[in-house]
Amino acid sequence: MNRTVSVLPVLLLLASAILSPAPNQAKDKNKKPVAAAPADLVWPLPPDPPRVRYLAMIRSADDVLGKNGKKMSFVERVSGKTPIREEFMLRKPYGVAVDKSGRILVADAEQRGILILDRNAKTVSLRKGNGQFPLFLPVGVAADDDGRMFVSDSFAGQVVVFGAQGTPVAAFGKGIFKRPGGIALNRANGRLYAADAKANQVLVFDTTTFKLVRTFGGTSKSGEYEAGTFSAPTNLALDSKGRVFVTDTFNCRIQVFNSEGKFLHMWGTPGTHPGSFVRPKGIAIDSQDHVYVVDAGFGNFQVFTPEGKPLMFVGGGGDEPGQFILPAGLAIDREDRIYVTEQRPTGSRLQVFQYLSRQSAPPADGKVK
Amino acid sequence: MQRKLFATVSLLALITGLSGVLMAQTKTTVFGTDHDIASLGGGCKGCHVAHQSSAKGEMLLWTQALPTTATFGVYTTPTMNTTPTEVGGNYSASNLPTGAKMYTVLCLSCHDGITTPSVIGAADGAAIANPTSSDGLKNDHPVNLVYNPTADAGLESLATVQATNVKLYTSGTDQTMQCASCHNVHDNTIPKFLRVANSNAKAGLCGSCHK
Repeated sequence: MNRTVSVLPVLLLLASAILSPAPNQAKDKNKKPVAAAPADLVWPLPPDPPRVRYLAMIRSADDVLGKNGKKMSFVERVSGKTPIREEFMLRKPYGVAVDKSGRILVADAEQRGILILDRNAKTVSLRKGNGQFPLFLPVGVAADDDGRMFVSDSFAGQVVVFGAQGTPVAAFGKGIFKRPGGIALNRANGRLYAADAKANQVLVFDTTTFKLVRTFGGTSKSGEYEAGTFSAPTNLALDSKGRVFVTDTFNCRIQVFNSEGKFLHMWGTPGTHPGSFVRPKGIAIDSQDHVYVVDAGFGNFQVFTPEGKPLMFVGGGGDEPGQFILPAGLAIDREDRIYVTEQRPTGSRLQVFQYLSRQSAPPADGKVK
Repeated sequence: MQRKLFATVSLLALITGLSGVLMAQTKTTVFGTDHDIASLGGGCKGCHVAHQSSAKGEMLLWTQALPTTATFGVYTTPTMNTTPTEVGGNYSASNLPTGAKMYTVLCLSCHDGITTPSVIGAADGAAIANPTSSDGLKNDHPVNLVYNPTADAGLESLATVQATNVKLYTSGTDQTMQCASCHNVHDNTIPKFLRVANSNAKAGLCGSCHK
């Protein structure tokens, strides 16, 4: 069932040009921030030093090659295939991840597969399930250092494992999950953490045996906002210490646990002011342990210290670069590039940003425990 | 005297009964349904997030210039007390969901595949007409579109539709179809939160709009 679209040199060359800004350039600009030109979107605005730069917006091949231009015909002619646009189109994206070799993985529920943008191999492919391990509603995706890819299926209630060869080799969690969503891998302890929005808990699996190790969370019995309980936990992320940051969506808060599931702290309330949430979803952590959370109610992502102090936000409901309609998934790669998927009714998108102060900025405020 | 007492009691009974009826009408039946977020530990605030105007936002440490009283725009009025004339609205770059116009987006903000079961497919008429889409969209009626019986002779007149329980939403001069045209988010009396029972009869859901 794997359908790999043939090599698209032009497409990927352009894509990599967009997605890989020269590090020197970014550093230089960071050194002496000039007034942001329209083409150079940064947040926050001067006089505050810029922390995040807009890099790219990807909806389909059109965004890389131009609309129906000669280039597209050329690529189509070279590749010998016409459905390139369709293959590359984001339809109902949610989870996004970047693997060890820099491939961007996007779970697309409507296409029942994972879109893979591989800048090095210069391919775009749609990885689907097979008869033995089908994918119905892939929503979460994570990749380990061995080339394996883990995909959560919220409809089938399991996680499907793709081997290094790109084919599904195993599945686990059937009968244990109710509705798995966001997943994350801890390479140090070999565990996969999965948020289950229906079961109101986080499930921890061994990534070798695929056996359930533990669960934590649960539905509040005593009332609202009970620490350590969830109301539709949808997404999670791990920081450099292995701590688990869970988006507790209907409780409008982020809860933090250690890798064993012990509750540590939490922040956030329902509200419309900075630091609060309406519909928090995707969550990711950068190289300095800043915590990023998208909110589908605000159409933005907010950046926090690990303790939950709000630092800034990017976005607001809208169609322009740096604005979002129904943002869902969030990922940050090893180069501190930030990926946000949007389930826009008029066309889904993937927007890419760069966290800027990687070397120069002081560490996140507050102490990392 | 006895008669008077009887009249008083009757009146009281009538009032009690009436208020009972009134209460039944005003109190939603969301409780106990799948949209009763309280059953997940979330309560009404799962959807009805108050804007908490008294609450001050925290200082944004990277954005010193921004006042701490700033608030974010959301897809709806803060209390979601929208009226039919406020909702609806077609989706375009010039009509962004910054106001109280995005009923459909509001639904999709939860029906995303994880938070709640997914509504597969993009939510506009153009997407469902996309012949290149191989999967999905086949089970879902398009939404967020203008209801135009003039352009489509197969559609009932506006007056006919408006006489049914199906609800059209005003957007400018247009009547539009949104998720909530067929679904009442608070009332699961008819399964799947439908406003009209899904049957092939003329009085059924489809027949409300389609001739």
